[in-house]
Amino acid sequence: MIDTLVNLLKEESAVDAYEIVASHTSSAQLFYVLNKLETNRYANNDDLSAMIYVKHGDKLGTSSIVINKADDTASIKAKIKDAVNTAKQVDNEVFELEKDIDGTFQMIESIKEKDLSLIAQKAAQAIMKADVHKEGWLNSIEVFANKRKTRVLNSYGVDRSFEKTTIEAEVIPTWKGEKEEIELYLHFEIMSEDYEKITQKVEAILREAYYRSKATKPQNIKADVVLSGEMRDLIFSTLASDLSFGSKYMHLNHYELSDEVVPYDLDLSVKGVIKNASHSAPFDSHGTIIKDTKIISKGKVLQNWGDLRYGQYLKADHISGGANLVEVSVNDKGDALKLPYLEIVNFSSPQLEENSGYCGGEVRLGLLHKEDGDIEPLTSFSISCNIYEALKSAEYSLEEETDESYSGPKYLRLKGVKIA
Amino acid sequence: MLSQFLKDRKELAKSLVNELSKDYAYVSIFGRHAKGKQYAVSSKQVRAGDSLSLTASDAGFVIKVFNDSHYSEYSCDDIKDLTAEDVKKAIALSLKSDYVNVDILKDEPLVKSFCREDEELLSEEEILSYLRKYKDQAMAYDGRIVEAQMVFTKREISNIFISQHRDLEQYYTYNNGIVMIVANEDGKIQSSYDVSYGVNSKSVLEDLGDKIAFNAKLAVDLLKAKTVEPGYYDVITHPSISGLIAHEAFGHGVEMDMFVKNRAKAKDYVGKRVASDLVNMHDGASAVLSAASYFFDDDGVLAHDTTIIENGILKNGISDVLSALELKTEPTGNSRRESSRRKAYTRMTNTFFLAGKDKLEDMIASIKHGFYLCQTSNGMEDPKNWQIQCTAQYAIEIIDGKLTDNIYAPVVMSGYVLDLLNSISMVSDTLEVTGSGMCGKGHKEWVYVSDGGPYLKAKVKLG
Repeated sequence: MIDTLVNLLKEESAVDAYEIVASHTSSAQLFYVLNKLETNRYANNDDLSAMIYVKHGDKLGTSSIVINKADDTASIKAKIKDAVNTAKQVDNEVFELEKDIDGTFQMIESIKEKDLSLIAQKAAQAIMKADVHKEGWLNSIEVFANKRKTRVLNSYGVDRSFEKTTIEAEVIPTWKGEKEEIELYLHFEIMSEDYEKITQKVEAILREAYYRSKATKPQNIKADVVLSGEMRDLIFSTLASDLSFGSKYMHLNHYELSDEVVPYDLDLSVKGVIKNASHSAPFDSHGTIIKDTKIISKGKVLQNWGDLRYGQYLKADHISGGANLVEVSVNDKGDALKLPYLEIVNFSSPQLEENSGYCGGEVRLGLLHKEDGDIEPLTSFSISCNIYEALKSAEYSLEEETDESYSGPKYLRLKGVKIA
Repeated sequence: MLSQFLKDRKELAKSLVNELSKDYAYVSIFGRHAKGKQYAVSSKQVRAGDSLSLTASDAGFVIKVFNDSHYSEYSCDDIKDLTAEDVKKAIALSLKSDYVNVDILKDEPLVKSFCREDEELLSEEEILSYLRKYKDQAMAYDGRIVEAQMVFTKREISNIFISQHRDLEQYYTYNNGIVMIVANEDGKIQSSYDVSYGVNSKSVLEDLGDKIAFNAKLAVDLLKAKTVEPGYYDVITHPSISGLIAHEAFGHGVEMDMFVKNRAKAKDYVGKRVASDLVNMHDGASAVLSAASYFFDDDGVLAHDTTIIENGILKNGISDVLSALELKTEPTGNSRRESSRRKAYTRMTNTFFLAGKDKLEDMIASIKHGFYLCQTSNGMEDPKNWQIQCTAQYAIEIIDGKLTDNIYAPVVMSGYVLDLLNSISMVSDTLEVTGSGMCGKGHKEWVYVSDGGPYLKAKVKLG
């Protein structure tokens, strides 16, 4: 189908340029209730879309089309013609597409096993291996073994592809407390057949479920707050997003070049590939090979980043490409885990509002680490702060972590966070 | 009308069902062809074309079979050239497992065809012209407005459902408009947004036009927004926030696949009081005409209007076919898939509280100090433990029974679901269902939903 699409795009003289993104995804999926299989699924699907570029006057028109099995040659032809007409009504600034000058790209390390059903079943077994407690158990497990091949090509000779196999899972642990059963939520995606690591993740969430079953509502707590996981990822991806070409072009950015983001030695980089980060991709949807790009150096904005379109609009010297990953490193980290502190282990849903900087949410499990080393589990409270302010006095842990989209210090300690 | 692609595949689907029925006691094929177009105009750029999201642009099939003790499904782009052997091979498992041992799904005879079309179609030129005009109006409102984005999305959905005894087809359309306006003053950035929705394109775009001036002013006003001091307050909820409460606080908790997994506290509350006796709540694809109004669900069950809460008492949950089978109840037409590639779960459709008898002005006048909560931002459910988190885009302070100029943003509402629902003390006599939203299950499986209700007076924790 790609060949047909390419040929038809070449035939249409009104098309000045095009970009095509194609992918094939196979996915083995298992759904368990109380460790018993309720449904198994297998999915085999292709995706194909094209961005069509039409120059008119000093403007550039674009329009996207999606092609699927509902299309035949005649309907693809019609879609291209419609897209050309649409593009003529779109009057964006001109930019140049990627050209095939690099020729190569970095492959990413991923799972080698080919049998996706087998991978999914092994992952499910690894999850269930942790289900050994009398008072705690796994109510629900969903496992997805996904293999995806992505290809980007354009009318200037770019033709790049990469393949990635991941294991994704959703696990719901439950623990029987004195008054009621409680549950927590675990979702992860990994890029290796490290089944031991999967078991460890489930053991950890079961431990947290135990803590939640013992947790009480806090009364007038005043403590520094320690964040990790999803909220930490959200904070640094939001910070990176603020420094993107797109944010700057749209006037949505808080920081300009050389502005101080934090008054300490923090570096933040965007990257395409980090080992074991499952959102890794060596190139973006324009086919631009993503370059590791430091955007904050020693706490100050070093440069903006982003894809070629907005980069060209801003006349940037360095185009990083549209990266999915952030890497943080901090010299003189402080001591994030200095007693006492309130560790936020599990939010209902972490909230971070990019414009206002509001950061917080309802907490399902917090652990108050007391001065004497005791741990008090807490629940049913909320925290809130302005992240742009709170980051200025943050401290970090020596322990580091890489997850789906982040690599850097595992824990982040914030002062002055409201706890209610 | 039904897409030609699905029309062309109906006979093939019937043949494949017959072939697979030789080996499996239940077989069904669900076909989905969704076409989405999106137009977006902002101060700096225009986007127009097919929507790239699978929820909006999708063509594919799900073959579902009863596999002795459990169910198996195969998702593919096309069933042309697909054989029964291909399906059997794809769903085979190599390692041993325990199975849930469910029954065989009912397959009662039904042949039906449904259609709901956009009766006010507009050309692309006309759509872009509306959006450009609105963008210009918003940008001209105040020098502090740095960005205005207007979006219009058209959706067309065709489905077929074929089993040994069922032959269903449906075609329907739905449209959404979004206005988002950003203001920036001395590095402080705030944004406002609003939505319009409906079956007919022209009406949706004209409704969007009515929201521009209000949202431009709101974006600027939000620049002086303060943060609510955490605590418990009397509040009046705008219908969009009432809908957020209906959806997040209670709706997720009555999705009966959560009953099967023992993940919902509501399971133990059927027939019991869960809210003040002023509270009535429904869900259903046929309950109102809105964003989730289909004629049959993704497992071939006709749309319902389910009474969830009646006068404060929990009456019913909502279910997909498999959950209903396991719980020995009747399915309520709530089997929904993100796309043809995903499993069907129990999902809400149009979820809302019914109107009451109070006047909004009396409700505001009854509050000494509190907040009027407006415009949904987001929310998260916790059906097992009934903790809630709902975020309103902004709130206006009420002092001595009057709305003030004091504005707060954003405002997070949290607490225990039953405390909130039982605290509802006034319910307005008007009702609005916001037909523009998407809902995930956990952190995935996005589907279009609507929610709403009247204005409610309640006591909640903010901050």
